Amino acid sequence: MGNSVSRRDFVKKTAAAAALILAGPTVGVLDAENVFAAVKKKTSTAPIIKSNIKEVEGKNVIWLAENSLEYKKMMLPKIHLPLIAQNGGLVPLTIDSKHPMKKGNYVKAFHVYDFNNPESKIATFNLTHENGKAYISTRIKIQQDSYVQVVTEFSDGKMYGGKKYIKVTVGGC
Amino acid sequence: MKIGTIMVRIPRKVKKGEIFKVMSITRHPMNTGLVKNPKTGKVIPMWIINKVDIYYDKKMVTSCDYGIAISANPFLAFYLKAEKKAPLEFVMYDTHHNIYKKKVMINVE
Repeated sequence: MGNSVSRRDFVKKTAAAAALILAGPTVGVLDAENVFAAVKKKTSTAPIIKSNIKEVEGKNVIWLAENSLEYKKMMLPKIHLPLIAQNGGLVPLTIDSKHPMKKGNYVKAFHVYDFNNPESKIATFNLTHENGKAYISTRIKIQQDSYVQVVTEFSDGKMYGGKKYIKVTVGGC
Repeated sequence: MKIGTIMVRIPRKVKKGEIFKVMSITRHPMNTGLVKNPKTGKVIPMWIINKVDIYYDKKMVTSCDYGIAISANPFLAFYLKAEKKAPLEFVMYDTHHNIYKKKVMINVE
């Protein structure tokens, strides 16, 4: 055997290990505290930006109060996001609307934004009336606790906004 | 599997006028350009898919513009209305000027 341990070495090492274990509790606690602080530092969040987006591609965005009559009438999409995402690198996002998709009256696009991300624009999804249903499902990266804002563009050019809050334990960007 | 492989799931047969779901997954690292390699300490350069076009019967049906905040191996699901037997084609462009393509046939009864 090439890497056998001599008896003297073995005794030395076990003694050292025993000493460490004896002095263990304080060291362990300190370590745990340090780790905890590091984690806290990592996830300590920049202030959450609550302001709604006002303009997309040079057009004004209209924000309606949720549960209002007009809100229901416009059939704005529901944003499906988990309440808490353990992994910010893989957050399932589903945008689902019951709006009809007929020629001349359909959902033209979904613009997805998050202002706490390093790059605020996440994606744009352009749809046509041939989709039959205004629905998109994908997976996105989110850096920290924030509001994910979805701007719905209709075929007449009007834009309506909606947002949802999400908590993130480990950032993904 | 090679980078840029697109997997598409559609129903085997659809009726005319039916609205069906299309799901797809692409193999791609989607590096944001903000993450460091823990071993070398160097920044991994940005490499993302930034544009996706989907054609049905040679007409653009859906298109997406992606930023850096799309997860690795991007997943995309959407609905489509069956009109006639025609190919559904995915075309993806990335920041290294690669083009990935995938064609599937939609069987309409």
